[in-house]
Amino acid sequence: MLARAAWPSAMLAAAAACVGAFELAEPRFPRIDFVTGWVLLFLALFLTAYNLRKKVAVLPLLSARIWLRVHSWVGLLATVVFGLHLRWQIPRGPLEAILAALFAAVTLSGIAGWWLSIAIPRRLTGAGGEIPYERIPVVMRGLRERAEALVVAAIPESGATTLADFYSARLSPFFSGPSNFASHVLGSRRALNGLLSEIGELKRYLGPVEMSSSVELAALVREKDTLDLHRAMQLTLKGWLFIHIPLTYGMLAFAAAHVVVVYAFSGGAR
Amino acid sequence: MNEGRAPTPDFDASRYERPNSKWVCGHSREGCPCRVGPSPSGQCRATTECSPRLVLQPGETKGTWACTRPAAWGGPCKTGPLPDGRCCREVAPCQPERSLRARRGLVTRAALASSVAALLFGLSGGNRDSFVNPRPLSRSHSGVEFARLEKGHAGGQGCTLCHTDSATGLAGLARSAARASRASLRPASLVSEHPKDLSRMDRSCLACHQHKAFHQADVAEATSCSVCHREHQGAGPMAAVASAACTNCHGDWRRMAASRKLSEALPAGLFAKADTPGFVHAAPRPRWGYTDLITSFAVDHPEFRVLRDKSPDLNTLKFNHRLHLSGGEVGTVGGHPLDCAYCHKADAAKAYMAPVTFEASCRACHALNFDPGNPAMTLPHGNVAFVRAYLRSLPLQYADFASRALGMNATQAAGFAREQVRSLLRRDGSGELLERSVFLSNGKEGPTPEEAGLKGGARSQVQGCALCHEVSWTASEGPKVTPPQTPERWLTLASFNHAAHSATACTECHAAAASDRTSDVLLPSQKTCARCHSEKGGARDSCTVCHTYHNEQPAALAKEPLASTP
Repeated sequence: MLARAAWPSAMLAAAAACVGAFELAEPRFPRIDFVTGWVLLFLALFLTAYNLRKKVAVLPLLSARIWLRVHSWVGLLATVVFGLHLRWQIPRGPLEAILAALFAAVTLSGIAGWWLSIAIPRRLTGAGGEIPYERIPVVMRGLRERAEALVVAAIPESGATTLADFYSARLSPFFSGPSNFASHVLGSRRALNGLLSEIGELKRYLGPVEMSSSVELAALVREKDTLDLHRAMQLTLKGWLFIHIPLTYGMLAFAAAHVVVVYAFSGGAR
Repeated sequence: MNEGRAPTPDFDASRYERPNSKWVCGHSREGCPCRVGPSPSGQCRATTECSPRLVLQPGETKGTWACTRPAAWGGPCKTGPLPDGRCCREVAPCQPERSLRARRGLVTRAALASSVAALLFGLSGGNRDSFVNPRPLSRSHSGVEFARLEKGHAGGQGCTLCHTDSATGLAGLARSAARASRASLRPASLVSEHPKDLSRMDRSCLACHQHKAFHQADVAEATSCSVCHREHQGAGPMAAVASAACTNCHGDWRRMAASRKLSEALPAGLFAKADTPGFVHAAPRPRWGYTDLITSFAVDHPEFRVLRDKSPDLNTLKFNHRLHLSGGEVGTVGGHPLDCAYCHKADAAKAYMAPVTFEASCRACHALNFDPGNPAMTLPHGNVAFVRAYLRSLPLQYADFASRALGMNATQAAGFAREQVRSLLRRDGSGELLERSVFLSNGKEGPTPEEAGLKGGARSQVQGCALCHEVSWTASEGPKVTPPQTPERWLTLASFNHAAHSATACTECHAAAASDRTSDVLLPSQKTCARCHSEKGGARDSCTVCHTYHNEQPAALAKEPLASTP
């Protein structure tokens, strides 16, 4: 409990120190905005370094877990410095407004990613069926093959194609690839329940052999649904970086231009 | 523990995936990637599932081909290699796909390229001025009139009028930034309390605002214009100068100590205040200059110096405010009590009080009548010679009065004049005594006329010049009246606007009703001002409410060229 509170406490203390230091320094140091700007840029580069750290995983630079925590809390601290740098005002110049908007977008996407990185693993753990993202297509293919084999095997034994027809009509698209992405992201089980309900409705038309196969088929549907859940969640977990990282580099480009422009135009000014 | 959870799917955990690879097999989507995978450049390398190995038994020359498919991929196949040594299981070629990570890198590069493109577009050509402008300029430095001035002054260069580097292209911007980072914006200056300098941008300011660079000769370090005057704060009037701009120096003991040292060393002539209009109370400059530490008007602004030094009003005019404001017999005009505004009227600008004049404020009561029998006969005011000439021409003055005011003819007027003069001479004894009575009597003391049997110490009936003025008499020169000098300005280092204080009664600030001496200085104290001009009082307490930074540079000071730092 104490350890969990350490990071937020440290962040709050650092933020309070930043605000306090700014309030004390602002009347005395006319160029305090330059200082907050450089601190902000340093923080942004440090936060970006987390991405580089992941790329050079072999280097003994603390664990990725610690880096993630530092990245998250320092990112929040950067928003405080960002507010101080802007003096809590919305910039009106195009260059500064774009830069501020990029920073805000990076921050918000980061916070969203942080929340996802906490919420999704919990959900996946609750659902069970852990599997690496890259292996999902292979396992999915295996499930499809098992389902098809099950249905095909039931035909000669039962002498009926009711289950096979149902599979072709309703389950084949489900097993052939990833399904119900949006439902899984939104936490809805409606699609799964719909399929299971249809299988349940089908049972009245099945003989004993097909009935037995339908039970196994329902289990496979559940397994496939869990696989889809993993895929949707893991893809979401990876997908938010498609926003966060590109925006970060765009922001750094604008920040570099901002530094050059400020220095070129402020020579001699406050 | 695992109740309700799905079991972990059965998959080969020993197979090593390469998430960092840029390309993945095109068959991965179907769940059957090939074993080799694409080349680093994204080319499909699919051939066969294995490369059969020739196995030679001892004594055998031909040997047999063995399947080498790894166990992770199913192990040796049942069919085995073809007789010619080729693998029997060909892998269908695919179109490799970028990995998720590679796609993210692609999006990142695209975003970076887009940002750079947007920056190049914004920073180049005609877009730059509006693109980099952090906030609109004030109306002082924008609009049609400024454009006209700017065109005439600098040929319509836009931002370059102030930012001399803004027209030098992208490379020029970078060079300018680099120069600034080594000079005026060097790292140490960013955490300096006084990093300002007079630089190229200040040159731009002074090109139009000439003679605005000087504050005081004892300023230890020059201050950039932009320290106080903040541009690009939005349209409308330019942002007011914050008190912090002043207290940055005046609240810093080190700077004030440096100024004090300079002030004591420099000749006093360098600190002569530029001419203030009107007659001002002359307060000598302290030897150490104005170097008191001030952080806020209400907190530690020193008492106004004329009050702190208890400097008396040196005016020789005798005036008793209490007597005139008491509301008694003295303090009424036409039955109405006197008030401050009867004598003190605002000047044309309504900022200061116009000088009090005898004719407007005093004559109604102090008519300068010397002959109670003829109240309309009054002396001129303001010039001793005129008064003496008037008295020495009394027969003519009476005759003129008789003809103009009483409608007598010349003979009657001459007779009237003779009679009146005779009467006066009977009262005062002689013409010289009349003159002495007029100049030296103050209503209490002075030459005594002999009228009505008043002898010895009896009071004069004439309120002579000495009632209000300092008058001396010498045998050689006769009467001499010291001209009164009523200061129009007491606080010569500050400005004041009475009109802005019209909602406040005069007596709230000026304790005139309690003053009975001319030497009393009726200025309100600093604390009186701070009652309103403070955070608590609510009125503005900025330094610029009263003070102005810019002073005329004394000619004795050499015009030093501005330091030219980027």
